[in-house]
Amino acid sequence: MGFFGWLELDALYDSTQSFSEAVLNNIIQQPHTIAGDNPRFQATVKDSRLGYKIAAPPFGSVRASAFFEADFFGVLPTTATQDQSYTYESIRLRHYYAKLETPVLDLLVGQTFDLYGWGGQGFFPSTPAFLGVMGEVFHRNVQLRLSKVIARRAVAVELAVAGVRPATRDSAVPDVQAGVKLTIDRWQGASGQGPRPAKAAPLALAVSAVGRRLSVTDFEAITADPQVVYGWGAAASAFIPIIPAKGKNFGNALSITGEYSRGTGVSDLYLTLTGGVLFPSLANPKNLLPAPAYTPNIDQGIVTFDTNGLVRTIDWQGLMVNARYHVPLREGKVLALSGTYSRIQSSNALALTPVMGQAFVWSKGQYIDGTLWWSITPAFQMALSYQTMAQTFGGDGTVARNNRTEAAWWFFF
Amino acid sequence: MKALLAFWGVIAASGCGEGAKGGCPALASCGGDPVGTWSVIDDSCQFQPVRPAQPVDVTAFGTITPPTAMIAPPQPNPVVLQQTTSGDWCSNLVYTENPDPEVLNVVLWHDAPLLTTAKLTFGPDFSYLTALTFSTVGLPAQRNTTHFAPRCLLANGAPSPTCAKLATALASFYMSSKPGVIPANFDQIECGDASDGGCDCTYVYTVAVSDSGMWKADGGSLLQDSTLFLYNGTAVAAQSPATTLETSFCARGGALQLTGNRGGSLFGILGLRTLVLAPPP
Repeated sequence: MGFFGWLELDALYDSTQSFSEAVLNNIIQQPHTIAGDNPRFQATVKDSRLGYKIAAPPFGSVRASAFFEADFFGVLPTTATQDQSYTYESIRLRHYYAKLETPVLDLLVGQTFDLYGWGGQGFFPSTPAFLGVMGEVFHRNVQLRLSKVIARRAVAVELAVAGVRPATRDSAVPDVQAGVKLTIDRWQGASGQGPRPAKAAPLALAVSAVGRRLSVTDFEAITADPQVVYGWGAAASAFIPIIPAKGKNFGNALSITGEYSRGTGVSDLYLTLTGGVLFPSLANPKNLLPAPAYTPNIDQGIVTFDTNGLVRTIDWQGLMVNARYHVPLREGKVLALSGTYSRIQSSNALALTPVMGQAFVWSKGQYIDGTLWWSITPAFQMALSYQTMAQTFGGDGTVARNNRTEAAWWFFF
Repeated sequence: MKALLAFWGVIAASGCGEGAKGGCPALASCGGDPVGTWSVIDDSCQFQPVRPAQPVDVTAFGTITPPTAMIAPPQPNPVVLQQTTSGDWCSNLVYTENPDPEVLNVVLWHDAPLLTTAKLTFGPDFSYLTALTFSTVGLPAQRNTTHFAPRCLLANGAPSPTCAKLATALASFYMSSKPGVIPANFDQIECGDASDGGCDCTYVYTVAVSDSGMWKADGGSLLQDSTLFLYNGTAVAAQSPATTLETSFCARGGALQLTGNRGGSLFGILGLRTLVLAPPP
């Protein structure tokens, strides 16, 4: 029970003017444009965290607890000035849920990471980049989750299923997510999640899946019944201590975290991913002015309409691999190195875009980073990181690239 | 701590912008006397413009027929910098047969045409004339092709559309106002049957840019005040230079080297960055 969190400063230098603070899956400005050929520098404390954990006294064999965490990436009004947007941060709810643990089943209700990808369960990369990196499943949502951990000696299997807020409320049914996670406690490694200092964690393998019904407003000026299409996704995640930790000694420990995911109609589960895919404009065969406009009931990038006006889901396939090594100095808790490689690609984003929009659509993205971590004290950490990311756009295959240098400092409490 | 200092050093050293020069480094700007005619292209550097730095004329994609020529490929929504739509699957086609085949509107996709001819004349009376021709000749056909699905051809009730009829109607739509003098925006239009029952139309896109006005030199800068700026014989307000055009230049050794000022494009033509010209033989 008590407060937790951290104070964070990020200094970010980019070779293009593509991003505000976070890269995520946002679009890189193309070369030969002012934004694509000129640099930007930003400094922000928005990724600082404030959280609170609380647990009620046990009620027989039933335990109830609650968890709250916020950062400062809240949405600002569009009228905010540049000065205001960097210094008048707005709070953003990250996690807000209650948990009931019983001998039979565990129940979680509230907002936290999606079960799809087993977010927050030890499969994030070790990087100071704002998560998720390009191609990584990373999303929080309102949900009701039932789970059960079956432990036998050093092996534990967790089974979970969740009903999650749908991508479009007009679907009228929640998304369904399910997953299985296996952990082997005797095989412990050093796990750094995002910017957090490493902790000992067991080898873990997991699979998860999501299924959803998408009911999308008909693509006509005068609409008929909504068009219905189904989206799905499957992900495999792993945390593997290549060189295990020796108890609390992380010296020379080397761990790999990886994730592979594939799906269609689930782009919202990769933060800010659209690939530039937008809805087409309605045909205007009568040459009317103003031209008829389509008003969607779902966020851009999840689905679109083909040349026959039929709704289609956008396919994406992602891969992320991260390695973290601890220099054998003071039990491996002073210096560490990490590196990340990730990629994401779509097989139909271009084909589902009219030719004049293809120059704005990227169907292949790649991200690589390398980071030096220095824990000056157990509570005060800094990192120097180089991150390079590229996207291949349609039309003539233009490759847009951004190189980011990041210095960051944290005080954990 | 040294790493930190190096980090901030990199930041400080790289704070200067490069304009939008991309892969086209600036040429010499020694100044000199540009008077004369320059019409042999020794070298040029041009890139594919995919996103206008400024919104272009909304009428270029509205109901004005035919759309005015431009160097940049058609944009889904040219009046906004941030696209809100991926464009129309039917490329704004309005095709009728009443009873003759007729195209009332269309926006054919084209790649950015490449510079093919250039003729710059700087008079001793400080008048100038610029004539540039851009063409998609030689570019892969698939980058200058528009597909029309059957529903696009039938949307206006045409009873029996065929690809041959469509090609004829498109050629008529884009017919030059002065054939033989001013090129048609789209030429050599051919439409063939597509696998879905629609039509795939290929063509050559040509833009002739003509600019005239007064010039003066200021050191290594060439200053041009445009009085008449035409794309294929049509004045294009949105693409005409609104202020004095400034170009870095070097006229020396029988060559005229030109570079768009401060990372910009030459003559206000998006994508054309540098040009090296020689006098006619």
